[in-house]
Amino acid sequence: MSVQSAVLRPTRYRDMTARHKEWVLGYAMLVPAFTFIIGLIAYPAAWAMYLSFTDKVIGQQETFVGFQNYVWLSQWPNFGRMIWNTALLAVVGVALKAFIGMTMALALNEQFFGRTVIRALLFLPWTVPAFVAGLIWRWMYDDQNGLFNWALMGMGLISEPVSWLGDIRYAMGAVMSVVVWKGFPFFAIAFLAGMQGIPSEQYEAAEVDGASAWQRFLYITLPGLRHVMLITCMLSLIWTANTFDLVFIMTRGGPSNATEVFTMLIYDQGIRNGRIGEASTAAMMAMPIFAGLIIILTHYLQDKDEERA
Amino acid sequence: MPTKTMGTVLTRRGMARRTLLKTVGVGLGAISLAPVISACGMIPGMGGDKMTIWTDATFAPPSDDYQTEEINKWAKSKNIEVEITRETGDNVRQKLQAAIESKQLPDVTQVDDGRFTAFYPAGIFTDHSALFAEFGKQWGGWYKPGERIVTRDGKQWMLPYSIDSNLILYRKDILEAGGVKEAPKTWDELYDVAKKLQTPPNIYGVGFQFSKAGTDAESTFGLMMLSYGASIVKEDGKLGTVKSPEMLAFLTRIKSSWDMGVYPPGVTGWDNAANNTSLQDEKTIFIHNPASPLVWFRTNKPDMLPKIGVSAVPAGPKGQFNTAYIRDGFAILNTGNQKRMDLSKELMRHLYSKDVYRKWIELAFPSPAVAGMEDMEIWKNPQRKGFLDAAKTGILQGHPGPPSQAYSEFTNRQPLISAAARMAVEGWTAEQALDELAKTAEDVFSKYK
Repeated sequence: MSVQSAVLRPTRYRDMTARHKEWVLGYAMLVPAFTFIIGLIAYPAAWAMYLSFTDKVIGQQETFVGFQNYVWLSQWPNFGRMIWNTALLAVVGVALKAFIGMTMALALNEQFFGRTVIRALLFLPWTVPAFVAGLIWRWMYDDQNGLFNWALMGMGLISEPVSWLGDIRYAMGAVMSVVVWKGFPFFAIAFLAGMQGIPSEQYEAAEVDGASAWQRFLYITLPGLRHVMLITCMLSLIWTANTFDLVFIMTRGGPSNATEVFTMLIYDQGIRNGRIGEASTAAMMAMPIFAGLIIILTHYLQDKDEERA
Repeated sequence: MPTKTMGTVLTRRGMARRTLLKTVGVGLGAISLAPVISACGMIPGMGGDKMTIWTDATFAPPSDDYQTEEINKWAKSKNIEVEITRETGDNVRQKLQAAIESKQLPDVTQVDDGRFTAFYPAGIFTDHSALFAEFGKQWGGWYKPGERIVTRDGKQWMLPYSIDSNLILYRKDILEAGGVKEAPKTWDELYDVAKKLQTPPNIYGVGFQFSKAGTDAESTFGLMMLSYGASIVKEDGKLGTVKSPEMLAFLTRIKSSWDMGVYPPGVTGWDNAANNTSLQDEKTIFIHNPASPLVWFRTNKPDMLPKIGVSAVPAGPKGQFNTAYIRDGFAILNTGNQKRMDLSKELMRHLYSKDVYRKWIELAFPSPAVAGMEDMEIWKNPQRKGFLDAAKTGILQGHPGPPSQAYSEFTNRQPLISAAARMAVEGWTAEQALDELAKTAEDVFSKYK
């Protein structure tokens, strides 16, 4: 065997140094995670981005159209309204969820009879599938046979049914109420868990120093929960901005376009009309906002990890 | 040292690195192969003889159950396995979209005219001309609307099974009590009678949806539009003059009807079932719908059934139109598996056989697609006869042009409902609504030039 061929011979695993073996093993163990990330996240995202530059229609060969879809979408008659509705639902929805969640968490952090049962019940709205929640609330808001109109008319507070989902003044509020109802338990549970991590000595010391309940909340609870609050709000902001099922079931974006959100356009163009290129464009246009939120969240979580280390 | 620790742990606990790597490799291999293995059952030529049949869940469950029973009976007689799924039409549509892209088509799917028009360009339908001719001969011919929808380039690409139509369903008892002996013949009459006889908030006059969740109203307003002499397309199916005095007159009529206060306040948020519910719950006098509420009354409120009248869609100043569309139909899809495609043809022969088809029509609510069932007892009932008449003569979606993908996409955007909702909810003028309607039409049709 020549020197050259001996050098070029492929290295066998048992001939490797311990350090090299560790590298190989390390990379091998990363393969499943990489496979799933590439297969289920990177590839579909890249494909969606490509499709957004095409005129792809279901069952037909696509052609590259450059930024045509983006121009088309920016001229969509309800484009501004959709962005406003999406932002309103996300920002106000998250703020309300955080407020109610905090209130619930503070109450449930106290000792009282039946606390465990109430904590379990608190989770209920979070566990109800959105589809079921949408149908139940749609019925409650229904103008013909709905619970709210029945109750209000029975009490003599209104003389004719109110169109909660069909009146531009109430529709967004009705949808928002369900989004908040479905989402606040997540906040409450997260805040409650965060409160368990705040040392009780801090409260005791503050109490000895004469701090009021409000001051204890302001100077101990809130700072102690700031990491949990940020992460919870960020995640919820992303989820709420992506709300589709509740809006679809309750109002389908109506009345007129009063509750139309971004995801409705994606559904209408992609599923109803089979225009995958245009639907992908709508999804891509929302992506920078979500990517920004995710980057902030990841950055923050990394900082927190380093802080702990 | 981490290296030493890791190596020691792995070795001492009984799994050598080599074994671990092998396990990881085999695991990954299995994960990669899993979808391939599972897909083999659906890939043409690889899935054996099991037939996949996608069917629609309709508003008449007994007819669905009967059809499933007959398909199973047929499969048993042929000693083959069938997989039948029954879902709403919207779900079947979405599944078909995925199936087309992944090239994993079912052997047979139920199709309505909307799905047929949308997916015809994808080339998934096979030439059904021979079967179409065979069944046409067997049943004394096909009704024209169904034949026109499925015929492209002189060939037939699916088999219509039922033709449906939306007619006016109304409270005959309320009209009679109010001294109105006949159903209104014109839109103006309908709104006047509704205004006169309604007793809000208990009973409102008219239950048409002003909401995109309610697709029935797109057809209602479409027929009203035509009756005012307006249209979206020309006879060749190309975009016509949308901004016309006739279209403005039609939109003005919708707006004035809203201002009359004949609609329940919730119609701006109604879904597609809400108009049915309003009639079934005795809360409106007139709705525009297929016969499905009659099926509901038959089962749930038989006493009310004789109090429901059925009449043709009212006329406008420029004419009167009823619609006709394929509600149920079958398509044998191009799976590439000849054996299963031949079996699918045999299944079609079973479903179109005399006893099976007639029994299904008896249980269902639409009209047949073929002419040979007019002797059936059910058509003596005036409530159902109106639907049969419409099935024979109704106009197709896209009138006065032929059914087209462009018009299908246009109606999917529900532009007439949008216009009505703009005027009702946001207080737009008819002129503003007309501007937006014209822009929508231009946007959609410009993609098909």
